[in-house]
Amino acid sequence: MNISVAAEKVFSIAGFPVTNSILVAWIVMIALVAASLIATRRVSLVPRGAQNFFEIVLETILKLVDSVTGDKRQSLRFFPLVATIFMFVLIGNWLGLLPGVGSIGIREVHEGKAVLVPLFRSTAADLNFTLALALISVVVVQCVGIASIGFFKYASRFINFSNPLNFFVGVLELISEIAKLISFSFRLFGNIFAGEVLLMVMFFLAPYIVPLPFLFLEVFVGFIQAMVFAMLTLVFLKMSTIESSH
Amino acid sequence: MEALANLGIDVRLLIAQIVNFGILLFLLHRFLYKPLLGMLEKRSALIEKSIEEAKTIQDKLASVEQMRAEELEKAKEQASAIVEQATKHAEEKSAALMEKAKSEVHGVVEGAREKIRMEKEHMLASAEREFGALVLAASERILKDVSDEQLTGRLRTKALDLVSKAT
Repeated sequence: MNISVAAEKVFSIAGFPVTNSILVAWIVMIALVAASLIATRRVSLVPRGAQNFFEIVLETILKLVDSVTGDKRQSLRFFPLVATIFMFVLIGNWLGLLPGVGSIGIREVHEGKAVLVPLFRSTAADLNFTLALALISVVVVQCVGIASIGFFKYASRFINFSNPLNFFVGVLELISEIAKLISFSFRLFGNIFAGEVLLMVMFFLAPYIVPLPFLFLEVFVGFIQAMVFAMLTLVFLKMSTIESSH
Repeated sequence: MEALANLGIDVRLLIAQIVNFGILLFLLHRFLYKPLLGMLEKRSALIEKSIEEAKTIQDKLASVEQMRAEELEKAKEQASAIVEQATKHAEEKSAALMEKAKSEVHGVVEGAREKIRMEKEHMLASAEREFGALVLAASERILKDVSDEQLTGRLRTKALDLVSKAT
């Protein structure tokens, strides 16, 4: 058994290390775009098949966004980011549960030992992926905040000399923005990576029947983590558009 | 930096993942969100419009129904008025006809009576003439044998008197 916190390099293109995680990210992207193209190939007023399915998914997400923002225009503005995060993370998590992910690979000799380098790995089981999403989420939140209440008003949230208390609160806010980055990325990474390790251990100990409940659990965790990431982004987006009352 | 590297964080991969996400966001927005959300919007607008139209149609139907009932009522009234008028007219006409017929019958009867009377007069007159002539002839014949001139004259006068009295 070989457990690596970092995603393993499978091959490289012109010096760029293509890891198993980024490979799966590409597969997820291709799958999602292909499914979208199929769903919207013939968009009709009476939906059928893939169009119907995606309409249900998008409408559910849109309703959820609406329930948080309470403003249709704002919902439509936030929707693409939230929905993309949700679907990208969800499909990445679920693809990681498919048989073959983590077990199909290339045997390589690494530091004198023969190790299996898996060809596929859950996207979220790589900190680069989760940190990238966290960065996008936090940066977009700042941009939306500045765009909706103005640069100086938004900046006064973090740098405020009106009284010592507000100054201290501002510093805390600044720290919390950085903490968001860490909590966002490590929450998702930790859950999915831990799930992978757990499943690997379970399969190693008892290959049949016993890992099944854990597999179900991981399906659930994959959904919940995608949801949490998207919902937190949404809530932070909404909060950034509200002027602070103090 | 060492810790980050141990966790597998590589700036190149990080940037690649950010770019990945950007591309996915763009493609999904272009090929999934825009068409489907547009369709959802269009559909709800259509449903709203249909409900509105159905309401309008229902209102119109109700008003048409009311109009129809009013027209029907009016037509009934008109029809009864026409029937009444026609009955009255017919009655008047039949009365007039009856009157005319009566007067005609009366005229015919009167004419017939007049004719009968005239005929009777004529007959009587001719009978008188014939009778007078007969009497004269008879008297002449009788008197020719027995009478003289004087008697004949007196008798002639008497007979003429009688005849003129009889008529």
